[in-house]
Amino acid sequence: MKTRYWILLFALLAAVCALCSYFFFFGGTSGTTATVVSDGVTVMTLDLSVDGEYRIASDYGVNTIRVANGRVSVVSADCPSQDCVHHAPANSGAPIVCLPNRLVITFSSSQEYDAIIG
Amino acid sequence: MKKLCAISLLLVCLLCGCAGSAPVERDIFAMDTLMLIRVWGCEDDASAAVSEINRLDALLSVTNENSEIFALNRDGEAELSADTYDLLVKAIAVSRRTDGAFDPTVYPLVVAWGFTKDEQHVPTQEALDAARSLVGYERLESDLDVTYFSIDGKLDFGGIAKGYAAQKAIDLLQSRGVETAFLSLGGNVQTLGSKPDGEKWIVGIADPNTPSQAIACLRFTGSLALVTSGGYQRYFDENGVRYHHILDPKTGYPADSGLASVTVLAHDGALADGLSTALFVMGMEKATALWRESDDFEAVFLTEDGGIFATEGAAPLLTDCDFTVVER
Repeated sequence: MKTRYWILLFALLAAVCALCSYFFFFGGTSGTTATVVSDGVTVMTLDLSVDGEYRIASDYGVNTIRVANGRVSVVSADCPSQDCVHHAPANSGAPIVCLPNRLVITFSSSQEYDAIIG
Repeated sequence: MKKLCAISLLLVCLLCGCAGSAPVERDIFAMDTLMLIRVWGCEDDASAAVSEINRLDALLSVTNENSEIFALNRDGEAELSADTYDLLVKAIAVSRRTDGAFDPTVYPLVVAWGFTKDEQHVPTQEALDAARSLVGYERLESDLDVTYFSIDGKLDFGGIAKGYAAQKAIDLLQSRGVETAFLSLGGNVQTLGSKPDGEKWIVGIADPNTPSQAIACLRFTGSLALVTSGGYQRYFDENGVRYHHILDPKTGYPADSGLASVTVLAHDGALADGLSTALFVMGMEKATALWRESDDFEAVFLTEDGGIFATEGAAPLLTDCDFTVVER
C-alpha cells in the first residue's frame, strides 16, 4: 500500500511539472496578443493576426475595438474625452486605456517592460 | 491516505504560497488614472494596498465633493487629517526648494485654463490675472503648525498626490512584511525590494512623440520611486498653438522650458512626484543647478529638440538610448 502512495505522489508531482512546463513553453498563442480588460475582468484575448471588430459593453459605457493589420485600436467610445479613440493603432507599448469606461487593452509584446512611464 | 493528502497539500502550498514567484496583481481606477499593483505576497496584502490608495484618493481629490480638499476649497477652512497635513508639509517643502516652480496653490490657474473639466481654452487676461492673484505657496506657510487650516486660494495636490499615495501604499506593504512590490500609478512607478528571481526592474520612459512607446529604459534593482512629467501627457490646440497642462505658477501659462519631459528618481514617492513637475517648469539649467546642490534625487531630461540628458546617478541605470551625462 505504502508504495502505491509514493507512486501516486510522484505521479502528482510529474503532472504538476508537466503542466508548468506546458504553460512555460507554450503559454498563449505564438503571435502577438492583446488582452481586453473591462472593469477589472478579462473579457477577451485578441490574436492580432486575425482582423475583427468587437463591442465591449460594461456598466460604465460602450467601446468598439478593431483589429486590423496586426494592430488594435478603439474606433468608437461613448465617453467625453475620446482619449482611447485618439490612441494610434498599436501592438506594443503602453496599454490603451479608456478611463471613463474602465477599459484597458494590454499587449503580450509589452511584457519586456514592467511599465512605461510618461 | 491522510499522509498523502497532507503531503499533497504541502506541495500545493509550496507551489502557490503567499510569497511565491508570481505576484498578486490588481488593476484599479483611482486618482483619474489606471493603477497597476503587483505584490509578491498574499491577496490580503494587495487588497490593503488598494484600500490605502482609495482612501487617500477620497481624502485628497480636488473634484470629489466628499473629500477634505474639496471642503477646504469650498469653505476656505477645514480641520486637516494627519495625511492631508503631512502631504501639505511635503508639498510646501518642494515649493520652497524649487522657488515655487511646483506650487500646490496653482488650482485657480488650472481652473482658468479649463483643465479640470475637459473644457480647455486659453483664458482671457482678466481671468488669468484674477487666478494668479490667488496663487503662491508662501501664503500657506504661516498656518503650517496647526491642523486647522484656512486659505483664501485653492489647494490642488494633483502634482504630488499619486506619488504620496504610492509611498504610503509601499510603507503599508512593508509594515505587513511584504518584501517585493511594484506599483504603477499613472506616470508614477514605485518599487519595493528586488524581484524574487533577481532580475532587474525595467521601466521605459515614454517617447514624447509616441507616448505609448518607450524611447529609453531604466534598469535597476531595489526600492525606488520614478515619476515622469511631460507636456505631451495632456494638451489642447487653439488657433494653431499647442497648450499643455503643466502650468508655470509664476507666468500662469504652460511652462515653456525647452523640455519635453523630466523623469525624477528618488527614494520618496511624493518628493519624486513634486520634483518632476517642478523640474519640468524650471528647465534644464535651473533643474540641474538644483540637482547639484541636492543629494536626494536624480533625473533624466528629454529636451524638445530630441536630446536625452541623465544626471550622474541616473546614467548607470539608463539603457537603450544615446544620452549625455550631466556631471556634478
